[in-house]
Amino acid sequence: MSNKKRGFLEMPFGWMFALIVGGIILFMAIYFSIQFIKTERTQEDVTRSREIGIIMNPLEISFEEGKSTLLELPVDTRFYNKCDRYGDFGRQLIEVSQLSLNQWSKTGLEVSFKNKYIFSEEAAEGRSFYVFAKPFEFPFKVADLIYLIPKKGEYCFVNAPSNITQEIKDLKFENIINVTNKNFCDKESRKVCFSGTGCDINVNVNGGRTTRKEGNKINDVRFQGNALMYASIFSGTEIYECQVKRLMLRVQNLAELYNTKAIYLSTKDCDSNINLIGLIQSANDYNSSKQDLPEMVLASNEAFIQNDKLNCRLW
Amino acid sequence: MNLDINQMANKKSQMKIQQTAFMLLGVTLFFALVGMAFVGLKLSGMKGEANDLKKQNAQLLVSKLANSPEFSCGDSFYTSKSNCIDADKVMALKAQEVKYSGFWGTSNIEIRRIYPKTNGEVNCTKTNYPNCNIIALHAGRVGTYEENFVILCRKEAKNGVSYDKCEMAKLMVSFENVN
Repeated sequence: MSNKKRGFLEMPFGWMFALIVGGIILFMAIYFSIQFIKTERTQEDVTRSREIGIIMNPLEISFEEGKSTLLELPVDTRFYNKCDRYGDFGRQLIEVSQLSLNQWSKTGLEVSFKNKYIFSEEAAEGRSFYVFAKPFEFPFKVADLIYLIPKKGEYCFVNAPSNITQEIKDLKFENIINVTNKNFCDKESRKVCFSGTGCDINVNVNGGRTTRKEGNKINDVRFQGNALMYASIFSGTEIYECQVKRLMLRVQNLAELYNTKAIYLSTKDCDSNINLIGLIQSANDYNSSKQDLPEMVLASNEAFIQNDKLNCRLW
Repeated sequence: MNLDINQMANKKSQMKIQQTAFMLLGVTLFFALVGMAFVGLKLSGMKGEANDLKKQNAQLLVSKLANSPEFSCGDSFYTSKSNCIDADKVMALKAQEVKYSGFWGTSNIEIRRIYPKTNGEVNCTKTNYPNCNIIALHAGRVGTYEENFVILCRKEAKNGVSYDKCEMAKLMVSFENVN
């Protein structure tokens, strides 16, 4: 009887042992495979973010007035545009999420750049994006602003000034149309009015002011020049304000650079003595476009006039 | 006799368990080794990819850096020139290089005057400028580098009159490879 019982227990124990250990091995294999796939996705997203940043290099710091390129990605991609306004120059942060097996990857990892200024919606989605750049001068060249627009998101410009209409035509955007009446706009398109109100985005070119509907709120930002005007159209208020703050930080640093250059030039019988302190101070105190941009414009114009009169121009 | 049979059966089952345990241990070790080899391969691939991205960044940066506001001549020399570096401005930038650390990515930047030719290598400082031929920002040239020809302009003075002096130079953007 006792032998029978032992014989009876012998097989199940062997099986049980094999099943438990085998189960553990299988569990570990599945666990590590899932972890590996997650890491692969993260790596791919971070690489893509870095690539997008690098691809944008030729667009900026170029001599061309306006230049556009179509950025085509292999899969549907969400481009999260984030901005950090703190530090000497602030930071442009890019996070990319890609569609894989009907699911958006979410890495939470951002790639940062100190010398880039990208204007787009906070989360731009698509497989193809129009990217174009415009130089921003205040009063010296400060940076090239980069605009990123998903190809599938249509914009309808109503009564845009002729120079803007021409520029949009030259840039060959398929998703931006120029019309004379907002009734001609597609229902799904984002309407941008250049005279009058009642559109999603209303631009007052002469007054340097853009208002836009964001949820239940209507936000109001100020701009100076076409580069910032496009920025105020193609980006959300939060991104716009943060990037303009970063641009003012760069204005401050460049003005300090020109001040130091003036000291070098003074030893070479060159009259380069201009007062950039006002511009540096205003740039340092800059907080928001609505509050501080008009004052900055005055300081910038003053510096421009002074530089133009110099024997040895600083810029 | 009954005891012997029991002991035999016990030993036999113990052997079987040991066999299964060794086999499972072997299988686990085998997969662990394969996994480690795979991770090693992937890591070296990632390093390669990181180095490629650094190289690509340096290539694109070197071709455009001369036109960035911190380097470009702008209208200081009365006509806008492409790929023209304002040496006086770069010296001012050198004085603030800590602030600009990492501004153009991880790259180090060096401007080397190549014509007119000077003997030896003299690093530019506040005191010896412009009697020098290398302006190094951050660590200067390290590791792998990409280069581009540029015009290096500055203001000079003779008999109380200032004039523009432009020379040939090489702009070098270097980076350290990930090992």
